Amino acid sequence: MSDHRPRQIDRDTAEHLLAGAVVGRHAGVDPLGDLLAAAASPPRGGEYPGEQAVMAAFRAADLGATPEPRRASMIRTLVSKVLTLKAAALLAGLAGGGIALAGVASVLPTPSHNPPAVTASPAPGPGETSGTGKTGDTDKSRGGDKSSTGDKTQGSDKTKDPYDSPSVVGLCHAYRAKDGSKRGKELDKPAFRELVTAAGGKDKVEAFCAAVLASASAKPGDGQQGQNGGPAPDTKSGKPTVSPSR
Amino acid sequence: MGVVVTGVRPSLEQTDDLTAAVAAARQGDEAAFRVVYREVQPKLLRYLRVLVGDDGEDVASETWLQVVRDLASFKGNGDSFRGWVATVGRHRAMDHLRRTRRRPAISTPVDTLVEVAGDADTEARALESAATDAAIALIATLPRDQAEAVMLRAVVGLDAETAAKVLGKRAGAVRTAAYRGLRRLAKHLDETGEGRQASPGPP
Repeated sequence: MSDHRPRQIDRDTAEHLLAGAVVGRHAGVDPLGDLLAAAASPPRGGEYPGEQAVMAAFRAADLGATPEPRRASMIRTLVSKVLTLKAAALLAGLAGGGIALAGVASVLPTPSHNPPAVTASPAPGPGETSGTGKTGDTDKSRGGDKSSTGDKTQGSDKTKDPYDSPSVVGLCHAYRAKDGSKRGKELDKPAFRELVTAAGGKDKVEAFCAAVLASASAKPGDGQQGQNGGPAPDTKSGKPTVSPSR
Repeated sequence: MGVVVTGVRPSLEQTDDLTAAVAAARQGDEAAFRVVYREVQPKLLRYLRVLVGDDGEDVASETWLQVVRDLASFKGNGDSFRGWVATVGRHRAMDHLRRTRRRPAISTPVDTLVEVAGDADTEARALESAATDAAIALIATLPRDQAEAVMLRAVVGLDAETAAKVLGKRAGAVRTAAYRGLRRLAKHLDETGEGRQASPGPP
């Protein structure tokens, strides 16, 4: 290959290069071919960073089921009601021990072994979430959780299609309503088991919820990309801030 | 179950394979969805890195969550699926840029490109990986319309018509943008490449 001829590619060459890059047809021919071949090289190990969360979301979507619309909306209503109850129970449980939680738990579709003992022994929080600056918000939200956690995203969720996973979204809201230092502890409770499973581990919940809530508020898709430019919930989905110290 | 498909399955070059996998995934087939994800995700991620830099991973996750949510309503073959995912990803990236209001930044220094890319054929896999990062980083320095056109065509593997739909442009405009992008890249490689061949060890 000649050293430095001026490379004046024409349009046909360009088309050829573009179409062939994915199959690596041009590697080794000239620097531009090498460049495109490198850009389109086969996948590397680190290129599936969110695979577990995505697969969990796929499972949660339950695509094979294709429920008929009316039924789906009934289910959704039911689920959101249950979630409201559940959130209330969790908050009450925080304040007043396990009694309220145990009471409501019998109504809930959560695993039935929901021992009051869990809340009766409030071990000191590991204090893991460092500096998310959320403590102020959650204090407010404990007083009136509906208004602070509810309206921003929950309200818009209602209009979403049946393939949403309302339970995961709801659990994320419930989780985020927790005090920063208590979040890790909360994840041990049966009520959050589904969330932990969906996220693929306790240490992934923070990032998972950030992504879920961001996309829930970003929702219905392509045509309306401006939709979530405004409200911009505080879900800058950064790296996980929770690192369970256990 | 998923383990079966997590190996080094070759890229689904045939549109038919991806078409079939997408169809099965729409019916709830988890293994098929994993195949789809593993086929499309790396390309999506590279494209997104050109748009949002190191935040590409986050935006890719958001993209897939939306894809999962709307998968049941998707209709089309493998190629149009690639285009759809790219479209969703692009919208999420634009949202992300509006949210953060900052320019994308890719941490790989572009200057390392030439040496690394030149040796990619003969060196170890790690070097190839570095070459890929460097190539993406260099493409990201193009004006955005050119960078996107090059990435969608050469990396995501879309034809000009599908890429045009993603970008909301005419196919001719996308061809021109990609062509200009390649010319720019070639010029850059010429300028820096001469130095490489003359003296292998840059100062």
